[in-house]
Amino acid sequence: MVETAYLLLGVAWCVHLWPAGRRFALPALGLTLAAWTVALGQRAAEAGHWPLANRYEFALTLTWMTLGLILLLEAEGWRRGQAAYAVAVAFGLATYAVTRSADQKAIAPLLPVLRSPWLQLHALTAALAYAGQAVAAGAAFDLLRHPDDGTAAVMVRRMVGVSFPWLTLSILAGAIWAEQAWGRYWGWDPKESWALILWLWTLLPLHLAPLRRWRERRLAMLALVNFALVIFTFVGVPWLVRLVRLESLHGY
Amino acid sequence: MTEQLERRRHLARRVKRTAARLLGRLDGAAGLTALLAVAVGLGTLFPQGAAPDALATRYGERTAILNALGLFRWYETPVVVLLLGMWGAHTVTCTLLRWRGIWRGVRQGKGEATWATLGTHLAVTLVLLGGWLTASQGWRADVTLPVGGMAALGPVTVRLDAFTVDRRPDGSVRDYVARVALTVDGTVAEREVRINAPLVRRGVRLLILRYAETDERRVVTFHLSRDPGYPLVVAGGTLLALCAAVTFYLPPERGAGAEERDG
Repeated sequence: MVETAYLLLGVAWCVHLWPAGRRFALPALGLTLAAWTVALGQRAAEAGHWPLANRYEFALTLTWMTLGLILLLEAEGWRRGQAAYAVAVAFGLATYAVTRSADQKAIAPLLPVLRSPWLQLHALTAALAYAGQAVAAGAAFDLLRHPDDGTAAVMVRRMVGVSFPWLTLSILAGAIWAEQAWGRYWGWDPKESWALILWLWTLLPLHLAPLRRWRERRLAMLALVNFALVIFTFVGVPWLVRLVRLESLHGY
Repeated sequence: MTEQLERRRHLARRVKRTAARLLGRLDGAAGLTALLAVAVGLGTLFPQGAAPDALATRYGERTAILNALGLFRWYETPVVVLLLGMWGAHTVTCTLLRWRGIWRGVRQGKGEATWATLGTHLAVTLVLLGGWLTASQGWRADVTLPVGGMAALGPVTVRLDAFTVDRRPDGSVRDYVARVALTVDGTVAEREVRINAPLVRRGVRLLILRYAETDERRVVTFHLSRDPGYPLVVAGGTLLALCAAVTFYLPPERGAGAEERDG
């Protein structure tokens, strides 16, 4: 079902790029989201928990949330041409999910340490925050191509702002989980450190956007770096841990 | 004498104004935030708190210089502590500078977003204060016990009465369950401790850290901690998330009065 949903997402992206496809953009995205919802539901039923326990499952949920957010914004009036960039970002996330190896996609029993409502809240809010950053990145691409378009700049600011409370809540829930699981809420684990870097960097567009010289290309660049940090925190940190041979408790 | 006193007061006022101007600037705050982010990132390029032997084997001749630079205990170095302190000072200054303007906005009925902005800054201060309390007043220790074993660490005593591994039908581990007695300052708590479900008694938290089975002998490592900063961090984090949500989810007044304004 994930593969079908992925194909539909590809079609939805093409429809967003197709000049004559205006009428079909919203229904195509709606259909994709419905298929993605069914795929997630199936996975949840098979695994016995909401799919957030490993990187494959997290990527599925993140794509689903990004699509949901784009659909909401399009229904609110976000122009199809502008949304096309965000749909492309969602497609990239989905591509990461579907290209995982069979091992990574396999359903495994949950480790005892992962059986915590705080972990569920931590991962769910992280996915919400990352979805906001993904849409902000899509809007930032649009802003780079059309720097005089005020609506793109507003969308970047809005989406970074939408993401920030969830990112904060995610770090807080993770800290509470870490206190219960390992006896410390903060341990400078590489994953924790990069979550903090992402949080700190998210403060930059929020603080600088009111300044006139930070409203166009510079704002777009900040949002794109933000999204690069999202990707690095998600998939780059495990690579860094292996490369530098660091100790990390976040090897899921 | 009076003239000298007046000059000193004048100088103090100037220093205060300059500090407020420097610390209250938005671009200054952003620059410091970016610098802190880079510093945090640098620490993830080196193993933190690893054993000296392991470091020497891995880094060879470079170990001494990397160690002298503090890169193996990076987050405890004056560089990071100073940056965090400056960032905290920036946040407090920003809060103080904004207080009057925001209060005026609240009185003029400009909405919740105005006071929520102040709340986010206060919340960050609370989190930093909690972190400082943890670092300066916190206590933690690990203790390894066989079933039936007991250990005393100052006013805290731990006794392991029983230990079981809860398995699923397929043999995978669902949970680890320890029956323990924790005595703190003479008061005893006896309970089952599971993964993610620690036992807390008079501010002392006990949780299962590791389990090992050697030569038909089961030993469990427990982690004990007393952290006066934790409640403050949770309170600050909750306030921060709530105020950030109010700031960015209640649209009309969002950013009202913030256009091109520093502080």
